Amino acid sequence: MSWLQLHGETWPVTDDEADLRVYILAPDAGCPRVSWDLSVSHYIRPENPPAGHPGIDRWLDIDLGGLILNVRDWRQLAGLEIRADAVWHDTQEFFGPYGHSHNSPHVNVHQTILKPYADSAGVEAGRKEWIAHDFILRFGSLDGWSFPCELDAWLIPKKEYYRTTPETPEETARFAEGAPDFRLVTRATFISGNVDLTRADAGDPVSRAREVLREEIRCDEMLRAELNWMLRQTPDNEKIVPMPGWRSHVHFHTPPGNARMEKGAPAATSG
Amino acid sequence: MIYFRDHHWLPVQGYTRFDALIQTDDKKKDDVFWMLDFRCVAGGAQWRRVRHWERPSLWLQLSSIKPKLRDWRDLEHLDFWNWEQEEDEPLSLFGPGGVLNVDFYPKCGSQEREHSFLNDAIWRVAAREDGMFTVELAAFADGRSLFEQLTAQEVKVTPDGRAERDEPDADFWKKNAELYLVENIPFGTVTVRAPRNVSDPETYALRRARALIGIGEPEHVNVTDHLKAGERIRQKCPDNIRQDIFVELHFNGFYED
Repeated sequence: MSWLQLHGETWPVTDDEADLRVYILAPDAGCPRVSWDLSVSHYIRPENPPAGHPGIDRWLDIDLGGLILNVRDWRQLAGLEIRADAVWHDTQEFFGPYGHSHNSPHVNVHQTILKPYADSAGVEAGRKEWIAHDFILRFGSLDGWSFPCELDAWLIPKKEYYRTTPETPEETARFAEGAPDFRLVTRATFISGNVDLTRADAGDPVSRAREVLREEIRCDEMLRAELNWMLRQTPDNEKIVPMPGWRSHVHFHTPPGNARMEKGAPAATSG
Repeated sequence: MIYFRDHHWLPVQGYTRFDALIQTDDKKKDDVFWMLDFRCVAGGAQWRRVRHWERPSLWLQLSSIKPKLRDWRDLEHLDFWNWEQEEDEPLSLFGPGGVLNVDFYPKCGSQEREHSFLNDAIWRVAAREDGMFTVELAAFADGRSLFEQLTAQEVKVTPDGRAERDEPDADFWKKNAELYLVENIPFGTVTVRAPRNVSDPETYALRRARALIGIGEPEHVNVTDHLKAGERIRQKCPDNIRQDIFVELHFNGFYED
């Protein structure tokens, strides 16, 4: 179930649910190793679409990536509340492996309205995007591999979001002023993840990835483990090829993610 | 921690590392060319709406370091914390501690830079944990008068007859140096130039790096042959680069992709 409100408009409830994914970096990463991504797509489908209709009126894609939650057991997400104020954001930003910046997490909201619905509803077709750094995320009690989840966010249009001057101390100190522009109530299910490994683990990366998953978040279930070796360019820069026996990462599913795969749903993608 | 101007700084991994370069004609351990690169960008919640490549950034490089190393682990013994100047000893521009190059990009979204405004540096490695070295560095526009003041301090004589001066603490360097940092910096990359006629550049590079700096197993290897690269890359490369094959051995698992 997914219920949401965007700029005061309550959207129809759908059966969509949020996906939770975990990413565990290798021990030499030099930064926080465990991060979580939350994403949900909320699709509004017409009840009786005419022939030739795309079968979807409009949808929202919501993602909140790179959350450093500091839980040693994934079940500890139950009852967790994040108030993403400036103090929290200060703890979330760093540079990760390969010099990639890990920006402090933002809520990204992408709205897409297709033309048939736009014409009938008298609204504008196309895509709009918003970003929120002020947000409150709450997880409820654990139910199997899922948690009830609430997200309140204070949105800024993406076109206005990025700037070339830092915020003033007054701007930085403000948090969650007024009613949230975006509210989401859904169920978030831990479906998949990724474990990075060093070359020392190249002998049996999948077994080692299972151990790491247990050590880092006390998760014993690793289904459909898929091993991917580190890539490199050939000396002529023409091709990118895998390096068996070197560093690797293991992508996996939990039981709910595996069930989705077996039903033929699109595979969860890893970064 | 990095103390420079008024920013809170985030170290940029990957670019921040010890590097070694082994040329085709290097024969002794002392011939190896060592560098230390350090890069950081302004961070903190007030910067969350500014993309990291548009924020103020600080790039620091110590090149031509001439350490006496048995192998790379001996980087932990590097100590160029030589603020105690001997009488009439000039600060050496090309001392064993290397040549300092600093670029500071102070403005958002601009390539405007302050270049080589810090000319003197003292630095040392305080500790090592596996491949990570804790580096302490203080840099000055002109450290001469400060070092002279420190050297003029009272000398204490130890029971065994050695003369010692009080070592200023970190707070002193934070206050008096233009730049002061204590950061963990990894042993990052060894680049080996392999002659074109070797049958296996990767094996050749590993053998050379083992012999000259005692490396273990790298985490990643990248081989680049600029002669075989695309026309665009080839044109940008001078002849002396094209004549060899470059093998990069990465030890921190990080590389610029």
